[in-house]
Parts: sequence; C-alpha cells; structure tokens
Amino acid sequence: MAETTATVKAVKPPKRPGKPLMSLERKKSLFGYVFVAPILIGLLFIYIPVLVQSAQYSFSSNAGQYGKELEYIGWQNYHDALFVEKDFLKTVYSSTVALLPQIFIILIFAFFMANILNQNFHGRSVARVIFFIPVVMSTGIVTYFDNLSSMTDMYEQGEKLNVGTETSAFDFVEIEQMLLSALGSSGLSEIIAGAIGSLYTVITSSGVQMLIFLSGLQSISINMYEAAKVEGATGWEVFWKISFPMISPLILVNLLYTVIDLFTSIDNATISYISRYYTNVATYSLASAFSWMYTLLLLLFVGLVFILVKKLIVYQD
Amino acid sequence: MSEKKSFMEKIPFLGKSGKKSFMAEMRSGNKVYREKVDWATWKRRNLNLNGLGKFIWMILRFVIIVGIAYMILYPFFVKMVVAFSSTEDIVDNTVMYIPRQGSTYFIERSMLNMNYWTSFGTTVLLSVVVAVCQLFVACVAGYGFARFKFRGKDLLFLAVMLTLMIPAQTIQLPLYIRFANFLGMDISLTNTIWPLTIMSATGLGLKNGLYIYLMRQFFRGLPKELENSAYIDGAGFFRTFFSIMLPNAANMMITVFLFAFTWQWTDTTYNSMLMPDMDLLANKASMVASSIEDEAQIAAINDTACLLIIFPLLIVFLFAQRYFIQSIERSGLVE
Repeated sequence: MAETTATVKAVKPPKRPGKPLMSLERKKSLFGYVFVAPILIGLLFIYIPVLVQSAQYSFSSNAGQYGKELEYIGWQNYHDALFVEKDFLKTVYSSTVALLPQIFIILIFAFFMANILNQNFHGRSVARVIFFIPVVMSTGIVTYFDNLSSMTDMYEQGEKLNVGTETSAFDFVEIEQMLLSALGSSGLSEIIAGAIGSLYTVITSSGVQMLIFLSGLQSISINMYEAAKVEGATGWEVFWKISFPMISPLILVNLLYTVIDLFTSIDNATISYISRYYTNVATYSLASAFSWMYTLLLLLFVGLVFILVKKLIVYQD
Repeated sequence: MSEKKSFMEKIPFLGKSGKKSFMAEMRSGNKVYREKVDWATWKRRNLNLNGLGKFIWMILRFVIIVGIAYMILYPFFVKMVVAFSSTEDIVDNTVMYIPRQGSTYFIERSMLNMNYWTSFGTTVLLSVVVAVCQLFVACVAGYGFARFKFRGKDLLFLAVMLTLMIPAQTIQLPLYIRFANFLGMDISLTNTIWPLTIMSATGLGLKNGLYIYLMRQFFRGLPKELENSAYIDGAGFFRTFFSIMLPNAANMMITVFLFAFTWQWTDTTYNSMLMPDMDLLANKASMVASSIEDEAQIAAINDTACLLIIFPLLIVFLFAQRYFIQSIERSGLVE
C-alpha cells in the first residue's frame, strides 16, 4: 500500500515555480467567458444602461429634452397611462385577444407543413425552396407594402377599377363570410373562419417555425421509424407515438418564438400605438411608461406560457 | 388465393402473371428502394384500403402544396407584371397578365423616387456588415453557451433571450441618445452605419438572440468527440473552434447569415430609430409614391418599389437555398 502511494507521488508533475497549474475545468470556464465576451460587453455597456435609462424616463417628465432636464415625478406617467389614456389598456387587450388564436393556428400550420415537407414526393426540393421564400421575404418593409393599396388586390378581385381598397393580398374575405353564414357565429367557427381568412398572413409568419419543426423532424433517428414499422404500427400511431413526442421540445421553442414575434412585431396594434406616442416630443415620457408596462406584461405572459408548457414536454436523454 | 385468372391478367399488355413490369417502391426513412414486380404482386400491395388512403393523401398533399406555393408566388408574379406595365395597362380591365403596351415607366419612376442605386449600395453595405457581425457573435457566443461551463451562464443566456423579448420601442429613446452623443464625446453616430454595427458586434442587433439560440443548438448537437480529439492533439480552444467546429457549421452559418442579411435589408424598426435620414431602401420605401396623385399609379409604384427592394434578396436566396435546405436536414435542433 505504501509502495503505491509512493509511485503516485513520483508521477505527479512537478509544480512550476510561481505559476499555479490551471486545471482544464478552470481553463474551460475562463475561455467560456472569452467566447461570450461580446455579449457581456453589449449587455453591460449598452443594453443594461439603456434599459435603466428608459425606466428612469418613465418615472420622469421632460424625457423629450434628451435626458437633460429630467424631473422625477414618480408614478405619474403610469397613472396617466392607466387612467387618463384609456385607449392604451383597450388596445393591449384587444390586440392580445386577437392574436391568441393566431398563435395556435400558426403553430398547427407550421407543424402540419413541416410534416408534409418531410415526406418523400416528387418536387420536394422545389416545394421547400418556395415555402421558405416568405421566411426571408415577408418581413419589415414587405409587410408594410402588403398593408398599402397594391395592384395585387385588384387582380384578386378580378378588376382594376376598385383601386385603393386597402386589403392585403389573399384575404379570402368571401370564403370567411361564407363559412360564417354556414356554420353560424359561435366562438369556434369564428376562429376557424378567421384562420382561413388570414391564411396568407399565417403562411408568411410561420416560416421560422416551419424551419425549426422540419429540422427537428429530420433529426429523429430512422431506426425508430423502422422499429415501429416492424412492430406493425400504422402511420397515425407512428405520428403520435414517435414524431410528436420527439419534437415536443420544439413546440415550446416555437410557441415562445411565435408569441414574441407576434407581440413585438411592428404591425402589432399595441406596438404601433406606442410608436405613435414616440413621434411627439411632448409624450416621450408617457410612451416610455407605455412601453415598460407592455414589456412587463409580455414578459409575464411569456413566463407563464413557458412554465405551463414545460410540464407537457418529453425530454429524451 | 385462387388460380383463376383475373380480368386484368387477360389483357395482353399487362399480361401473364410473372412478367415484371410494375415498379414498386419501398421506403425506409429517406432511402427509396425500387424493384420491378408483376401485376399480381403490385395489385396485392397497392389496391387495398391502405393504398386508397395513400392515394387520396397524395392527391390532397399535391393540392395543398400547389395551392400554397401559388399563394406565395402569385403576389411576386403580379408585381412583376405591374412593373412592366404602362400607365394605360394598369387601368385597362382587358389587360391581365400580359401588358399590352408595356413600358419601364414604373421601374424608372420608383428607381428615381428611391434614389435606387445609392440606396442599394448603402443597404448592401449595411446589411453585409451587420450580417457578418451578427454571424460572428452568434457563432462565438453560441459555442460558448453550448460547450463551456462557467458561472452565470444560465443567467447570461436568459439575458440574451430577454433582449429578444423586450420590444425595441422600450429602449428606442435612450438608445438614440446614446448614439447621438456617443461615449459623451459629442460625436453623433446617428444616420451612419456605426450604431447598428456596434450593436450587432455586441449581440444586440435585430433578432440577434434568435441567431445565438440557433447556433447554440447546432453546436450542442455536434458530437463531443470532435473537439476532444482536437484537444488531445494539442489544439487550443480557439484553434479547435476555428478549424474544427466552424467548418462543420458551414451550412448553419450560411442560414444564419441569410436570415441576418435579409432581415436587416427589410428592417424598418432600427432603421427608422437610429438612421432615419440615411439613403436606405427601407427608409426610402415609405415615400416612394408621395408625389403621385393617381391611385392606380400609387398602387403600381408601391408594387414596383416592393419588387425592386426584394428582388436582390430573391437572387441571394436562390443562391443560398441549397445550403439553407441542407442545414435544415442536418441541424439536429432537438434538445
């Protein structure tokens, strides 16, 4: 026993004088900081100071003077935002309620399309290219153009004389009306009719989600499907017992992404409401209070969704 | 099974059982195996309820795909038609998809109103710089988050996700002030490409959090043996990262670059906040039709301008799509 200890001691590397030897773990954790350094710098020197400043503005008047003549007025702006500017809460409520069904429609659509694009058929690669055009195209300025009067609307209506009717392309308004009159106007039928009515919007805003689902489906091992086939599982069973649980973590990711994307996009009703207050120097402070309240509500909502859905997910290890 | 000949087998062409003239496809995962089988086998395999279901689904899938592809492509097509129409064509109800007179009036007019080539140059410069910075940060930070353990990692990652969640409008004003008087030196960086460059290089650019997330997930999916063998061979962390990890991530990097480039190209949020007076396509777009009275012409100019803005992106996308599709197939995003 004593002999072994002796050999171990002999093998131990001699300490270099002056410089303590760093373990790989230590070194790794140090290099971790090096790799995330850009973000750390950005957060510490730009983002956090800017956030704090923005919070300060929301508690002061005169934010319009570029922070030079700030006057602390406590909760006054928030009080005004809640009780004086009555439109704000209404806008937040109505835009949120309008977006809730859309979140689920986008998720279901993206999941469905990802499954289709994952199957084998002739022309699959062409279909994939076309389906991902909206991912790169339908953002920012293109959405802006979609909301303007466009010749596409006139082509849709089959005549060019009703110029200036500001409907975005492919609104399927007629089908929506038809469905509503056929099904009656219960809650569910309104949601379904609304979904079909806004199919174009759904297609253009579900690109990233489709991408994430598709890559998830691609990464499921073929062995699993083969095993299921050998056991005699039907396609339906394979879908519910393999595909669905395997990509359930991505459902959470996509759910969060959809919520964030819809609620912070520039054509969100609340966001454009807040932006309007930023165009007037006199209401900068109020706009800061608005945006802080909206931010906190959004974070609360996202957190709630995260906690609720996290329980339903299957993590494989 | 009775040996009685069926009706189909009496037809000479389909003929005697045993002549292998039907293609059967067996699928296993993404691989397709083909073999020739005779009619009886083909019939037994395919003409049943299961085969009927497959057939119906095939038709349905075809209809869905063609329908949605049509919806995606149709607006582009109409914009293309409108761009080459003359002022008479766009109000003529008998002209639909082929302009009768045809002219490049709307293209010239939109180009003039947008100051196209100057704006185009600035937009290319801004988008490339921003995309490169964002890609670099996404790779480096994504790798840091995926492979290193350090104190406060989870908190930092949460912070990155928060930058994605907090609407840009919340920080709009202080951000502008910060760049209007950069580092308290009375230097105004607004209306230059610097604010967005700095923000992208520090992971605060447009949707930067998403790119960091994507790269992190990608690196997590790579086998650890890749790096371990490099470490054993004596490569340092940086060398391993640049010569082992990044080449493996090439497709994903092209995808992230594509996103960053195109989203910056069409972005209006930060453009209108930090550089409202710069000659950028997205900035010029909002006033492209401001000097025109006629409503049909306004619509046509808007369409043409939209097409002129996204046309370069379409070309970039068509070049990059191969890598983009490959990256989907290999990314392994599942946690």
